[in-house]
Order: sequence, then C-alpha cells, then structure tokens
Amino acid sequence: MKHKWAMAIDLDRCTGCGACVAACVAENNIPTVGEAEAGMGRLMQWIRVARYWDEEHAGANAVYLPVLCMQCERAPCETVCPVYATYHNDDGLNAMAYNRCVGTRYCANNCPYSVRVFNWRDHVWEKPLDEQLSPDLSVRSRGVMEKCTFCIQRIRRAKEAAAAEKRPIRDGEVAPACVQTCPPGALLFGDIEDPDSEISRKLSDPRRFRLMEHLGTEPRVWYLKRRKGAGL
Amino acid sequence: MTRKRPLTASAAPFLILALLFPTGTACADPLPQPIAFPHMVHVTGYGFDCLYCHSSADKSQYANIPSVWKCMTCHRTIATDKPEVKKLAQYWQEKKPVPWNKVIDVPNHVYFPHWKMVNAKVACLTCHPGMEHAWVAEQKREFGMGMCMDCHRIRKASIDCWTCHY
Repeated sequence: MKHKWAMAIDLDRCTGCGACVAACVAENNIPTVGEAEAGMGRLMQWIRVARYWDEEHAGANAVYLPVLCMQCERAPCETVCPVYATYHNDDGLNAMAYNRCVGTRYCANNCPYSVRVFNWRDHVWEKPLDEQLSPDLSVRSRGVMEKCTFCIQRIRRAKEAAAAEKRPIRDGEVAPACVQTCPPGALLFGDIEDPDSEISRKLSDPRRFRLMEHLGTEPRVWYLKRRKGAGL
Repeated sequence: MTRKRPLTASAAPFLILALLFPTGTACADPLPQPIAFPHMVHVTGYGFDCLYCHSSADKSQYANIPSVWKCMTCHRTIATDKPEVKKLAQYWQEKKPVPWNKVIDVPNHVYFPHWKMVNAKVACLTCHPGMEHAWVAEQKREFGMGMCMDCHRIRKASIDCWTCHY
C-alpha cells in the first residue's frame, strides 16, 4: 500500500523550545560536534529551530520556524547526486542511502533549505554514551551526507507491525521523534493519501503554506501561518 | 626488451578495487568456541528445528544464541558424562553465560530483520548452508548485497534502498 507521508507545523503553537531538536538527536544517532566544529558551520542537526524577529509589531516578538528536510516531491538534491545515493522512494520520501554516498556534497549545496548535514569526521560516543545509540539505524561514518528521514525506522516498524497483523497502518500510528516529543503539539505527521487522516483535515486550513514554494520543489512539509493578534 | 613491471604496480588497481568494493563478510576459518557445539548432532542427528534454540528468529531482528538454561533443559540428564557437556554444566554451576564467539555478523549499515525472512518462509539454510552438518559453527555463504537482491527480486520483495539501509 502506498503512502504519502507529510508533516504539518503549526506556527501558532511552536514556542521555539527545541525539544524536537533534542529528540531528533537522541533518536537518530546524531553526533554532537562541539563548539569549535559548530562554529565552522558543521553543526549536525536534522531539524533546527530558526528564529526571526517580528518587526512589524511593537515589542519585537520572536517567530520560531522549525526547519527540517522538506522531503520535496521534486527534490533539487536528487538530481545532482552522481551516485544516486539520494533518490525518491515509493512512499514519496526523499531517501538517502548512506552506504552509497561518496561525499561530493552536491546535494547539500543544491538544497534551498540547507537541511542536509555532512559528517566531516568519524564521531565517537565515549562510554557509556555508546549505550544510548539506537540499534535500529546505522551510525554514519566520515564523508557521508545525512539528513532527516521522517524517522524511517519508525515508519518501518509500523509497517512491519501492520503487516504482521494484516491491516493497514492506522492514522497516528507513526510519529517521528520530533512530532512525538513536541510539548505544545505544533508538529503533526501523517499520511495525506488518506483523506480522513488528521493531517489531511489539518491541511485544509487556509493558513497553510510551504517554504520557498516559488522554487517548485513541492515540499511535503506544510506550515500553518501564525495568526496576528493580541498575545501572539 | 619490455620493462618488467614491479608486482606492486600491477597489483595496485586490484588493491584499489578491493578497497573500494569490499565484498561483505569474508568467510574465514571457523572461530574457536569455548564449547565444541556440533550442529551436526543436534540438527541432523536429532532433527531439532532451528527455532527450538534460536527461538527469537521469528520474532526479532536477531536470531538469538540460546541461554545456558535452554541447553540444560536437556543436558541435565542427557549425555552428562561427555567432556563438552561437563563444560556446559560448569557454566551452569557458576551461573555464567557461555562466552560464544560471534560467527555471523552483518555490517552496521544493514538492517536485517530475521523475523521477516523466517515469516516469509525463507529457509534458514538458504543463507546458512551446511549449518545442519557443521561440527563447528561456520558461515559458508558469503553475505553480499547481490545474494539479498537475487532473492528479493525472485520473491518480489521491496528492493528500495531504504528497505535495508538507513
């Protein structure tokens, strides 16, 4: 059965706490590179919380925008990979095969959202931190590009569980780590192929927009615009 | 007279190729084990099902190594005078697990759920040929992606990269 996984991010609800970032790092075996490397722009985060100042309104409110891989339907990263390490899979996800990547970094350079991160070094998890590594997915080595996968390991788990019980995946059964952890529930994940899913209903909201839509990348991550007004 | 090329120069391209395309798990000599466990006697001799001992193979990503307790369910009374079984009893007395050496390993970049294969009725001996006659556990068939892909294509299983690599 085909799926069309998508995410909706309600900017009215996002408080910029960064729990999504922490959850993502913990779930996906993402190394912490340290201050020096981060200063060189080598921060390895699959989701980041971009902060903007809303200057139209007095009091200069901060506006937070969680940015992750948009899983573009017409992904600019895929067309430039010389070894087909990044490609589109049957679920319409922008997949990344680490063991095929040769590290040209063309994909990251061609990504308008700057969400791809590169392993500049072989990272080590000192004991006992190695115990927290997830066995469900690989630890990437040096010279490999990586990015948000919509927690493919969780999607796989749900598919396997559903297949074992001979039923389709239920709405809400799959949630990436960021969605599961978001305290105000700003992030929502689901299958837009199913018209009755929560995300399909959420996306009928006229507030919806996508980042840099004019580029024609057709992202699978929708944002719901902040309403202006008192307290917002 | 043509100049004889040094061996290193002629071997270099092959070396580079070998480095670029390592061929999965190499089949080396069987690893030494703390107890000489013969699959031959248990599987071929007594007709044990693989899943009797490797009982999580149809439920989990990993086909487990049986606990000392599982061995002792039989060996408390059977063949207690054999030297290898005495070693096992020693571990049981000391309440220690048998420090088996891991024979078969798939690389870190492969997600290999045993239970998917077992439930899809792929015989264990497809990937572990000759195990039923092994006196010392040994992986006789080299794991390469080609081997997986052949089977996935024949059985019309997914050949999306993300099925196994993420």
